[in-house]
Amino acid sequence: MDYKKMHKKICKINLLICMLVIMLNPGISLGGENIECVPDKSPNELLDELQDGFKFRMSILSYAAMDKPADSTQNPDNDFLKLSDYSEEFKLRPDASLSFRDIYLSVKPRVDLSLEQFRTGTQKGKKNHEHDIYINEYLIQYQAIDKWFLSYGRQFLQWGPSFLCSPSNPFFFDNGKSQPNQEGEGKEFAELLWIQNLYWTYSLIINTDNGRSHDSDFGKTFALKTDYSGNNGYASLILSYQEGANHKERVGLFGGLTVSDALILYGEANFQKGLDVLYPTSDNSPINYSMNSVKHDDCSIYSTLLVGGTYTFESGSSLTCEYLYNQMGYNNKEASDYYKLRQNAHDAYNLPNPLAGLAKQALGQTADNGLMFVRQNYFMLQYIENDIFNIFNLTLRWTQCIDDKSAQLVSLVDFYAGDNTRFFASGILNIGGHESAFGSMLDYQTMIGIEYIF
Amino acid sequence: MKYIIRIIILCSVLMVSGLNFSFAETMKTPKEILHSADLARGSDTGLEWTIKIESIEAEKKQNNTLNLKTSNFNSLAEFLTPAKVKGRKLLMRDRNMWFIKPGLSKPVPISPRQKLLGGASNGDIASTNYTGDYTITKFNENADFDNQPCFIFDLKAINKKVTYDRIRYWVSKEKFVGIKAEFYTISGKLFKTATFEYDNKIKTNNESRLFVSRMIIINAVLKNDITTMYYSKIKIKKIPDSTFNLNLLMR
Repeated sequence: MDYKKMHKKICKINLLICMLVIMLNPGISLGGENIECVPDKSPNELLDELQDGFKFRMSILSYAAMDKPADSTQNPDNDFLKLSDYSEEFKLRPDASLSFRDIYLSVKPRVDLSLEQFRTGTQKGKKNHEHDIYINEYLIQYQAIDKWFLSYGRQFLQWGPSFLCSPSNPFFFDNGKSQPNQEGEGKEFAELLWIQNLYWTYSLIINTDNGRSHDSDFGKTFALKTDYSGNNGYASLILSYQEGANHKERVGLFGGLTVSDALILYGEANFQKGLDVLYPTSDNSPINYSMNSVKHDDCSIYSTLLVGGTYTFESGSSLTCEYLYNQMGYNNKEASDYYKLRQNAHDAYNLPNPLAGLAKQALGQTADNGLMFVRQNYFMLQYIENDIFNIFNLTLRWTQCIDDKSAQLVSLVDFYAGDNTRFFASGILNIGGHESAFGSMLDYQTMIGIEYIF
Repeated sequence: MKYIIRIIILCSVLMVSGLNFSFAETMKTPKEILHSADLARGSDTGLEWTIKIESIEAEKKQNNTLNLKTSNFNSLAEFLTPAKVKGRKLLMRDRNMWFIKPGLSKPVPISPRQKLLGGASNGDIASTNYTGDYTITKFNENADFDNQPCFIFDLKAINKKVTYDRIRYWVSKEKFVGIKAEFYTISGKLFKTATFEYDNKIKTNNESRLFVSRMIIINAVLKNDITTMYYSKIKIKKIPDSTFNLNLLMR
């Protein structure tokens, strides 16, 4: 009996000593890595959690722009497009978001005030005042299970590495890079995202509504996006289908490679069946041509390909080159017909109806022909230098239409005065004549502005 | 009595195993020493920290604060102050890097060489992994820096993806932490010099270890251009994969 008691006692002491030794010897663990995190919860943890998850940023933006509308066949005496010569804009852009456990909420309401003045053409002397209050973007996201995210919201949903445009994106071809102080208009999306692991992500995206966008060919669009992100590069495949009269089937791709510390290469592509682009066709109408969606039911596959690369110098400045092949753009014959149609419509613009009506209809179609890039081959060179004298950021972008030799020069300068204030100036100069890829709308535009951020 | 002897033997075994462990610590291979130094500036698992960056360039001073989450050579930096940079994010997926700022329509791919602020490259703010990214070309175990006995490592980049082609790295013999580094370009030019301080302490495996608190980067040519990074609010924790997902970066 005594022996048994003694045995139990010694076993207990044994256990106690073992525990003590293990506790005192940090080199020994009981399997698995035991990481002690710095406590990140305070006594009032709910309030702290909410405070940590809430973010707010306010941008107050004001700028003035001087435009020189082009005296082109697209815009006879600036009567058709009615582009202002001078404009002032004032914008309030608050961004608020809350990340709380499995829920993420964000909203970007906007207040816009604008004044437009017309100093040339038929609109000379006119002034327009406008104001708008709206929600440009919002998002409700729920992390359903560990790696599943379900969301609905209005977004300017963008992806891909390119500057000129985003061919792989079935929702927004224009990525807004040419006008960095303008915001893209959000559309409504429902999205289910599954992050399989660090390398693979899958998303089902449904564009349910046109939202703030004014796309004339809106149709509910379904997209399945697969993203791969590796050690040296990344790639994505986007399969999409657009419902409705302008139905389209598209395959989008983009990818990039970090070749070295200084060099990155990338590419984007789109292959699609069904084009809603308008092409000039000769007919017996008084203006001899009309714009028609002649390739809509064409079974051919049309492609848009973009390749590019960025080299970063030791100083930190970078040079980016991009080449765009836009198969759906006009070839020489189509471009020639397109400008002839515009010329004929321009000539008939001031004639009595029904000719004038026909001319206006034709010019409406030539202006909104479904093409962001009218021709087929473009080249872009962009130079960015940030922190010049620690206060200036400079961007210079040259875009060349290889087909008609026209070009666009864009310059952007940011100047930071203190921690909250940014002054900016931009200039756009279109070169190559009014009947060319870049010269139809504006000869030039200059803009200066100020942004206060807190 | 038999059991008391057992207890004594057990304790002895455990104590000796502890002693052996300590002995092994001092007998580290150069690669193990380098890995120890890496752990004082990063983590094998996951890490979240706040970095205050003070940059002096051309006699002009700039201050930025950012929150950094890092795990397995991936990191997400979010700028907190000043207001003009608030909300900017820098995502590093291994050597693929993306930059986003409020008002920008989409993330922009950037190269690792692009400057973060002042003398700090994007690669400087991330968790350090010299063991994985560099090979040891030369190892000197009898050096010193600032009156501290040191090992000196000559490191050569394994591939061209890293920010610096060659690094000369001084590691304290006493503390196994990097205390000085010289960074060289591909052409062999000295690009910048950095020194490190370790006033932070973190706990892993119930063991308290030193962690980097300050990194001072001095431009090799313009010696008055100095960038100082202060590290605080260090949390060793698992960072979920979703943190580094490009699809969730824009939200």
